[in-house]
Amino acid sequence: MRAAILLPVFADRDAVGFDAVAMARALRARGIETRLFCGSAIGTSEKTWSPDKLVGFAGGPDDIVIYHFSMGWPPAFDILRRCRGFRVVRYHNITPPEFFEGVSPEYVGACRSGRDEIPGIARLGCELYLGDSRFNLDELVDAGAPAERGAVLAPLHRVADLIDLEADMRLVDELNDGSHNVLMVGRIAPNKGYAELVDAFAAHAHAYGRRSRLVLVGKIDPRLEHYTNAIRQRIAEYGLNDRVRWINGASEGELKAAYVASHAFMLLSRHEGFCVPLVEAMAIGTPIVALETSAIPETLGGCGISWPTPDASLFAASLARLGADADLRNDLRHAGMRRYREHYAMDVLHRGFFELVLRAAA
Amino acid sequence: MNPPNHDQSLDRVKDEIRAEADAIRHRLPQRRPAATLPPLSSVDGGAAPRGGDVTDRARREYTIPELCAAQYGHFVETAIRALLKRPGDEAGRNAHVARLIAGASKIEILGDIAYSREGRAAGVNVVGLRPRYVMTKLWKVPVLGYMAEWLFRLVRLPVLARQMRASETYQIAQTHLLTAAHEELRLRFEALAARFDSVAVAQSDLRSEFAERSRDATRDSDEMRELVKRGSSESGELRHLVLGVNHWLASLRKNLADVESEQAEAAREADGFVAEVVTRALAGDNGRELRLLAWSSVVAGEVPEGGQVLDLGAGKDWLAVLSSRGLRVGGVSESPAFEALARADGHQVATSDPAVVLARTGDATLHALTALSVGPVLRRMPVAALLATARRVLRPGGLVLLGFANEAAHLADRLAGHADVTIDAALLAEALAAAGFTDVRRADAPDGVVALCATRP
Repeated sequence: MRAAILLPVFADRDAVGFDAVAMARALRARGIETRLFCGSAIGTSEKTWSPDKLVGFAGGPDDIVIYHFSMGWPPAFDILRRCRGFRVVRYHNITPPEFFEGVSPEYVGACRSGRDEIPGIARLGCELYLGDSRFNLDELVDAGAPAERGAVLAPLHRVADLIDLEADMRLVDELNDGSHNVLMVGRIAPNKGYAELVDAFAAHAHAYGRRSRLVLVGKIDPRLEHYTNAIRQRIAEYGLNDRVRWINGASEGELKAAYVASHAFMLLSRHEGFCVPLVEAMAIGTPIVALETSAIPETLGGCGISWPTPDASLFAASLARLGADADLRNDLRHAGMRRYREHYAMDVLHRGFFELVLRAAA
Repeated sequence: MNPPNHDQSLDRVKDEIRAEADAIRHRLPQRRPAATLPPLSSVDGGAAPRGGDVTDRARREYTIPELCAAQYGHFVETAIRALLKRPGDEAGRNAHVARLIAGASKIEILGDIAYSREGRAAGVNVVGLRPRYVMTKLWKVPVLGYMAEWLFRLVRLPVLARQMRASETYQIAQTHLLTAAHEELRLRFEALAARFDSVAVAQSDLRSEFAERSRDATRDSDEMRELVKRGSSESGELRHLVLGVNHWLASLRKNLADVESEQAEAAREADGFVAEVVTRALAGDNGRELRLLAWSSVVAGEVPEGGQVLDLGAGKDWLAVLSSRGLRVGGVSESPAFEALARADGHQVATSDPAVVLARTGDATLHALTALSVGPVLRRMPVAALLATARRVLRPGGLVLLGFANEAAHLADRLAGHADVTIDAALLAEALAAAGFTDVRRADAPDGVVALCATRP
């Protein structure tokens, strides 16, 4: 038996890339010869092979092919059709293009082409459709994938590394100045709900007047400059420039420091296929306030305060309550940590992966 | 934390948060489109200018009413932003505000800005401004200007009087509103004062309760400290006892080892003594040599050359006689001293119970099994077990030879005070037959010592 991991673009620092690498390592640890095949690789030390070599390597009836579907990539159809073994579609979701209308035509095109491929992939007759979340899987089933071949497995992640590594103490000291820190982690993009996040934070700062700070940890994408500038302008219009700390392209140590020094993790994202930062917050013990959209309620699992609408007053009052109620903070912290251990720890995910993929393939 | 309790608790917390959110909803902040404006509160406390289009940098034409809508400092800032397309600097803004305070009209301020060198360069048009601005300038001409303004105001006197009356009415209405607001504020203040008093009382109660709880906590803390101290003392004592027991156990272990060592030495000495006595006794048995030769002839007659023979307890002389007939011989003895003597002569002898050695011997591996003193063997294993085992370890056609001689094992048993096993040859012959051996026969020695031999079918 051989295994091939296929993905259009491989960058081992992003969530999809790490999921792919972790699967490859897990398979190799079971003695299965495994290779990574990708259209292009960005800044990775992992050895990769060209996709046109995949069928020759793992196209046989006893082999496994896992395709990580997170963007439009027509070559995948031909490759999956030619493989005769156990084919797995690992669906990480694709953001609907409507979020980028009027912001970036490039993103609109990329998202649209990706979403246009969903029905084709769903009806390809692969042996297993593996969603990061029930939300993702439902999209595939709605598009025509057979429900009986569907399963859910949270993405393999490196949260355990984040727990073990040392936080950037310089940033911890900077944030621990008596302010009430509210954290958001995620790239600066329209689907992440930064406008509503700023509104909620402004409501909190205005209504409660206490020293508070919004910590934004997220990569600023030059292609979304228009959106980033709109968020900056919004912050300025609320007169909150000196209360917002931007951390663009944070190191792992800075990310850890941000979680450790923050009193709440606030998420008003409009579209998430899973949301790994929620798991990071749970694992480190940062209480969560979140908007109930897409896969967020499923990932959160009741271990935080969540609201169905982005009502700034509700989120502001939630932050105030978290700041004033130590018992609530501890309850949410413990609930999050327990959920991490029981559902998202790597040994749990590895067991799930082998159960779903290897047993089914056998 | 129990998950159902967590869920119920969270639902309750969310209900409270909803109520709190409703309470703060009217206090939500408004975004200021001109947020990059300098803080106008330093100039006046007025409201922000309305709408974002007045300061739109692309706009090139305005009307007088929309520019004059704002008041005081905001009027000046709005005018500068609209007509010069830049934020006002503090000095310029303050100068224009000072002129407003001195009684200058808004038209004059607008005209001064719009028709300044910078204003002309900006090229912004204000519909209808020029004639009205020229008129205000005319009024600045000495004497004539004064007369012209006087005449103009005189003509407009009825209009001014109407505006004065309207203004007076408006002021009265505003005064009433202010009075009502003031009354409401006073009532609120009184209510707040009452609440403050009740809060002060509650605070005082809380302080008393806190002091009482603090005293209780101090008392509990003292008790706890005493308990910890006592526990620590008991823990030290227990540790001391454990160490004492450990020491005692170590001493006991050492003493037992000494006793065992002495016992082993005594047993070794006794074994050596028995071996010496037995050797002397066997040396004094004049018929033994012929006996052993006769029995070895019986064995050699039945076993092929190089055949494997196992003897149970006869000693080194019997092993030597069998070896001299070309047989491969092994022996069993319970005495380490006998084993040492046999090994010194080059024979393979195991120090063990015969039953143990037989149990470890493979099926059908022996050509002959001998026990010249069968009594000691039967003392360790019943005859049925001995014969069944003999059948198992002997090859088909193998020989079993059982004697009633006073050989080494027999003598050692007697020296150890064990009684002889009372079994006679006839009974043993019946047992052999019953165990399935064939050709059961007597093989008595020339001196009459009885022996039986039989063949495994």
